Amino acid sequence: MFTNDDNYPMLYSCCLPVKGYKNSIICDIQRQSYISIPSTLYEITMDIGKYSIGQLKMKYVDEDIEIIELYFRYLWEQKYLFYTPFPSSFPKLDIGDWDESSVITNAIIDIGEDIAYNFKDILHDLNVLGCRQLQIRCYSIKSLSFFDDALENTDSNNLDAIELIIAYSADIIDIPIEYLTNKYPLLSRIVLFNAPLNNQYLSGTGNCLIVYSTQQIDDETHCGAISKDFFSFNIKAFTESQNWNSCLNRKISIDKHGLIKNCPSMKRSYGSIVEKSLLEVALSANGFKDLWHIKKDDISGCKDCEYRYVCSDCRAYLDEDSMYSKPVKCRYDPYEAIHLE
Amino acid sequence: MRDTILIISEYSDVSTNKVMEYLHHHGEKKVIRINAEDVINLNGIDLGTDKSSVSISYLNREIVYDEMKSIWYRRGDLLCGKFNAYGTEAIESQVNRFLLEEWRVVRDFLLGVKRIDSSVFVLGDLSKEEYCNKLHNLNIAHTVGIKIPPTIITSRKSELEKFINLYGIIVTKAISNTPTFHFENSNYSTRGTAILTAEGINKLPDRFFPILAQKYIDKVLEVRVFYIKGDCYAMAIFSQDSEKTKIDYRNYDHEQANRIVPFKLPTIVKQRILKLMRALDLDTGSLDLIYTTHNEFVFLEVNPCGQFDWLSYNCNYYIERRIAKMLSNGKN
Ligand code: SF4
Repeated sequence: MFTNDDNYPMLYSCCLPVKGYKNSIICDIQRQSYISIPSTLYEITMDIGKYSIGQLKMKYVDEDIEIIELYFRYLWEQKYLFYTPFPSSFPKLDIGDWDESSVITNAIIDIGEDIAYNFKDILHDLNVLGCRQLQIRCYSIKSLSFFDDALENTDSNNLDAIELIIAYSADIIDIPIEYLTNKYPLLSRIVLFNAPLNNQYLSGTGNCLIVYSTQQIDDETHCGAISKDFFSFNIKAFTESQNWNSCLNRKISIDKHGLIKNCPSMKRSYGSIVEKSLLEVALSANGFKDLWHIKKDDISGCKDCEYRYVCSDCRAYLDEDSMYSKPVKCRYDPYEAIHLE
Repeated sequence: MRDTILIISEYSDVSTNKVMEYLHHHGEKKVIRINAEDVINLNGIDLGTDKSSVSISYLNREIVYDEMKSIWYRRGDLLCGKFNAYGTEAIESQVNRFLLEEWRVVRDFLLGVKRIDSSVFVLGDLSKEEYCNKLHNLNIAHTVGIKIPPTIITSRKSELEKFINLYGIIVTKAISNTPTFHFENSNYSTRGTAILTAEGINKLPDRFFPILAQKYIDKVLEVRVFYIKGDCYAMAIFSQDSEKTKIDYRNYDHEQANRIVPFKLPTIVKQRILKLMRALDLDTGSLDLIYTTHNEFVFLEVNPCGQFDWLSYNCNYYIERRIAKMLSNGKN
C-alpha cells in the first residue's frame, strides 16, 4: 500500500472522524456504523488526504511510518480508506448543510387521563406543518376504538411513519394489533410496555415491528435514556447535529395534560391544546424554537464526546440546572471513555 | 399575477415529491402536479382572437398559461381523456391512432411553453426525452471530444467475431432501455450490461436482430453526473470494490454497499460535458461515465429524465432544494 509515493491515502468522504477527549471514532454514515480509534491517532487521521505517501515519509520518522502504515492498512481493510493520485477529485461532504422542507419533522403526543384530544385537528395541523414522524404514547390501557379514533386521519400526505408506545393489555394483542397494522400502513412500530414477556416480531403486513417489553412505564420520565441503541449514524442525523439539537430540533409535543411543549418531559409549556393550536405554537409562540439551536458542541461534557454527532441527546433530564449540561441519563464519561452501553 | 408552477411527472417519482415539499415550505401556493397516470381536460386553446389564451384543467384545478411562472417537465406524459368515436367501431384502432396523433400536436403545443410565452421559466423537455437517441448521444459526445467506448451495432456474427478479436472482452446492452418482460405473473429484467463471450457468439446464427456491442473497459470508478442548467453534480461509485457490481452497478450488492462519494470533475471533462449538453440541447440530465484504469473518463450514456435522488442524498447536494428555488424564482 505504501509502495507508490505519489498516491494519497484518503478517507471516503462518508467516513467522518470525530474527536473525543480520550477516544475518537470514524463515523461511517453510509453503512451506518463506526470504528473506534484512540484519540492519539486522531491527528494522523486528520492528515489523511493532505499528504501523499512520499510526503508522509518525509514528515514522520521511520518507526512512526510503520505504525501509520499498519493503521492505514486497517482502515483500508475496513473500506474506510483508499489510495488515489488525485486527492482533489474527492471533495469533502458538505456536512454543514442540513435542511428540511418542513417546519416540524417529528411530534410526540402523550395521552393521559384528564383530557380527550381532537385528533382530527391535531393531525390536520401536523400535516400543514409537514410533520413526518409521529409518536403516540399512552400510559394507561385504552380500547381498540380509541386507537382507531386517534389514527383515523393519519393517511395524510406528509407522515412517513407512526409509532405507538402503549401499555400492554390482554385485549390489545394479536388480532387487534394485526387489525391496526393492516388498517394503518404508516404504523412502523408498536411497543407494548408493561408486557409479561419480552418479544418482537414483524406484523403480517411486513412493515410494522411489534415489540413486547417488560419495561415498566408509568409516564414520560422513561424517556431520555442515552444508549448506543438510539444512536443514528446516518447522513441526516450527522449533518443536523452539527448545528441543531439532535432531539428537539423541529419537534413539537403534547404532554399528558394537553400542554403543548418542545417535548413532553420539558417544564416549559406554550399553552394548552384546548386553547391553542399546534400550528399557532409552531409558527409563532415566543421562544418555541430557541432550544432547537442547542447543538452538541455547546453542551458541557458532550462537546468532548466522540459520539456527539450521532447521539440522541435529551434536554429534559439534565445533570445540572443549565440548559447546556449533559443528559443525566447518560452514563458515558468521554474523559475516561468508559460506561457506554 | 404569475404564480402557477406546473410540474409534469409520475406518481411514484420521489424527487418530484421532495421538490414539491420544498415549494410548499417556501410558501408557493399554486403548485400543480400532473402525473402521467392521470388524464387532463383541455378547456381551450384560443389563438388569433383578441384574447389569445391557453387553459387546461386537471383534477378540478385550472391551469391558465397567462398565470404560469415556471414549468418543470420531470418525466412522464400529458395524456388526454378518452373519448368514444361513435359509429367507427369497425376501424376503431385506426381512428384511435389518428386521435393519438391529433392529441400529440396539442400536447406538444401545451408543453412547448417557451414558444407560447417566452417569459415562463422552463426546466426539462418532453420532446428531448422522446427523441433522446443513445446512438446519437454517443456520436455527439465523441465529436465534442469526450471519449466513448468503441461501439458497434451489428446483425452479423462475423462482425462480432472481428470485434471480440480486436478488443478481447466485449459487452452488450440494450440499445434503447433495459427491458422488462412479464411472464406467468413474474417480471423479468436483464442485468443491464452483460459480457459477450466467444462461446456465446459462437452459438449465434450468422444473421440476427441488430445488437449493440461495446469494448469492455476496466474501470477504477463509475462517475454519475446530474447536470442542471449549466451545473454538474458529480458522484463517484467505487464499484470495483465488489465483484458483483463490476459490470453494472445496478447489480447492487447490498451487504457490501459500494462506496459513494461526492466527486469533482476535472475542468476539461466538465467543459466537455457542458458542450455535450448544449449540443444535445438538454437543460437537465444524468450522465454515466467511467474512470478507467488508463486514467480516462469514458462516457456511457445520458438520461434526460434520470434519477438524482440517490446522488443528491449520498452527496448531500440538496438538488431538490435547488430545483424548487429555480421554479420559485422563475430563473436559474
Ligand atoms: S449524552 Fe453521553 S454519549 Fe451522548 S454525546 Fe453526551 S456524553 Fe456522549
